[in-house]
Amino acid sequence: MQAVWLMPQGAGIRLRMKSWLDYQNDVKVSDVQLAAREGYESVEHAKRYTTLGMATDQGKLSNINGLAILSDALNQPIPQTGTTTFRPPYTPISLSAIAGSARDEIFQPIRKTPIHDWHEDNGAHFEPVGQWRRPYCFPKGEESHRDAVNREINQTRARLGLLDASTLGKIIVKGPDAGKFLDMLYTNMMSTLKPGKCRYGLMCNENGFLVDDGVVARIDEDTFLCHTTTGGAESIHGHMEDWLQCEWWDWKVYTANVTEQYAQIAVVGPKARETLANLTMDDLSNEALPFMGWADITLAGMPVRVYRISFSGELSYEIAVAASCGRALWDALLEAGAEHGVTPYGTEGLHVMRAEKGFIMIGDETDGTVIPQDLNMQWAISKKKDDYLGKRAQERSHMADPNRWKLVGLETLDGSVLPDGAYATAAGHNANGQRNTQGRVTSTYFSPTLGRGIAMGLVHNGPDRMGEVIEFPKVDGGIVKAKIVDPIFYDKDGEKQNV
Amino acid sequence: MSDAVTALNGARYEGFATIEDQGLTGMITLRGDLASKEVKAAVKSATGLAVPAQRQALTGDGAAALWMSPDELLLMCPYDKVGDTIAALEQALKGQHFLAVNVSDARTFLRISGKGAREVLAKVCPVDLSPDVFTPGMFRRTRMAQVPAAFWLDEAGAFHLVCFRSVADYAFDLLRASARRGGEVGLYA
Repeated sequence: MQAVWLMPQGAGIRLRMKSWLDYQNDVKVSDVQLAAREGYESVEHAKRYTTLGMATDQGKLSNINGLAILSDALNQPIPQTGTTTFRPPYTPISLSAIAGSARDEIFQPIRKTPIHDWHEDNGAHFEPVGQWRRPYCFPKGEESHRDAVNREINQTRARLGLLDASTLGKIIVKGPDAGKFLDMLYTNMMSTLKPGKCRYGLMCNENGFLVDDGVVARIDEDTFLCHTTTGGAESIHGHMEDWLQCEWWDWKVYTANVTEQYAQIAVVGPKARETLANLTMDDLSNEALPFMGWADITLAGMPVRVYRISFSGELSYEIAVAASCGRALWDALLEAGAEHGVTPYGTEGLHVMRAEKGFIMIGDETDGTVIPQDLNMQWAISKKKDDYLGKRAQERSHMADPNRWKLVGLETLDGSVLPDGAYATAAGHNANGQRNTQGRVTSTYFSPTLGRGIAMGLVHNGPDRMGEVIEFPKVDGGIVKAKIVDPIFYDKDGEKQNV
Repeated sequence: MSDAVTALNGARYEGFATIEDQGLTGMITLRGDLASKEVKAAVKSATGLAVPAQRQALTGDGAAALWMSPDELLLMCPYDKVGDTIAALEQALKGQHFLAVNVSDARTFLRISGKGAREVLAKVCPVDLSPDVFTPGMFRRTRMAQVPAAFWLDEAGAFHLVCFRSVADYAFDLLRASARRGGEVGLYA
């Protein structure tokens, strides 16, 4: 009896190109024969050249046939060709052994804020943000999500909204060199910040690209609290420790990730101060606690830290309280805000309000290829500093190229909402016969405040083309025309947050 | 603070081991030069305990000193004494480079006790928990299924485990699944 390793035996090249050996990695008879012709005669080399047997079955389905084909191509018996190293799980195990405990309610960890139960009890529509579940909006009864979002925004801008902002990262940075360290981490100057004050900052990686943003508060001479994005809490803490442990090991700086120590609640809207004033004896007047200041006060009988910062453009206070008291403070704020129709809002309301103000969002306006200069944020880059992470990278020719796409606002002529991620076409075609492009949408929403679609995008020479109309093809074949405008759609002078 | 509650609010489960929420507990992250006499004196005055050696847990009356890394300890004290304890540390370490910060509310603190306690943890942590290897007073930072956790073993055979507050439900559900009756493996029996 003769072993047959290829059917039909002596198949021509066309058939051999369709004779699959490894069903997981799509390795064919012709690939193994090519490996032999290219000189990959060792079975381990042929394996790596073709990926034969490198899938999760570790060659269980393919290796015998593949080695036989290789032996044939090398004109030697199979034992002389040998076998490759098998790695687990070569011996079959059950899928349940792989899954382990990860099933049903413990399939994956769901991170919950101290206020999560309230959200669940009040009909929140959740969205995943990493392993957190954050309320996207709080629909009432039969209300659609879009209607709920619009209601939440309108009520917040008119009177009073509440946001559970507990997930955003909080990192303590302390030591005699803390200011010097933060000056290297952020593009702006942090060492000049006065205790009691807050400053918005941008963080870039060594390649100059934006990785995070947030408000830094100086607690005392030696201590700063850095707010990061929700997704950045762990990675930015790791980034800090990396630089401290590997590069600047002689700098006197300690960090601690205190993200989960605090529940953080944003109290937002024209009635914010009045509401808080009813819960405290401390002075929250504009003189006592101006915009971009912070203070330790007692609120509803609880010690809290109030940051007067705004991601919505409204009068806004972010209140940090010990996580164990987070739910109690949330309940107290709901009660105190009832007379103003207090309205909890979700992440979509947050997104729309920040877009109305032209505030960027890491992950929307940035995608790992965007530098602060693309977002016209030169104002956040200190010119007094000799260095910061990303500075040299941003001086490279392609980063300083005036042809980089830059941030603008986009206003559809028909008031519709631009499709997310849509590209603006330019004249002509590229080498692949595709339409040339001149920009793309980074954020796009229906703005209930303006009653129309608003968007931000990166456009070639955008800031110099105000008023010009560009075209965005839709996936259904139609085209949306949008005018290039200033990205700040609402309260350009920032008067509302500064009352 | 009468309004303060833990994420698990006193949850308890009895399987072939008992899983219990230990309630509000004061916890302080202390970073500094652990070999210095100043840090040793500060830890002593704030908790009554010495600086623990690598992977060691030292415990006293309502207090614990846990080794987290070459320059970090986790100190425990009664929840309502955190402010005083931090103040004592700051006083003792005045002029030194250190960080003492309250993390009491950032954590979930569980007790796993009973004959099956070792096995319940061994199922979900990549740690050799055999009785001759993991002994009372040892402290280990590790992974518990999909989340970070740390625990020590006391003289009575109970484990004291900390993990993050946000994953309290996951941690409790996971340990409950691991301790479910009928799931005994008998490895350490």
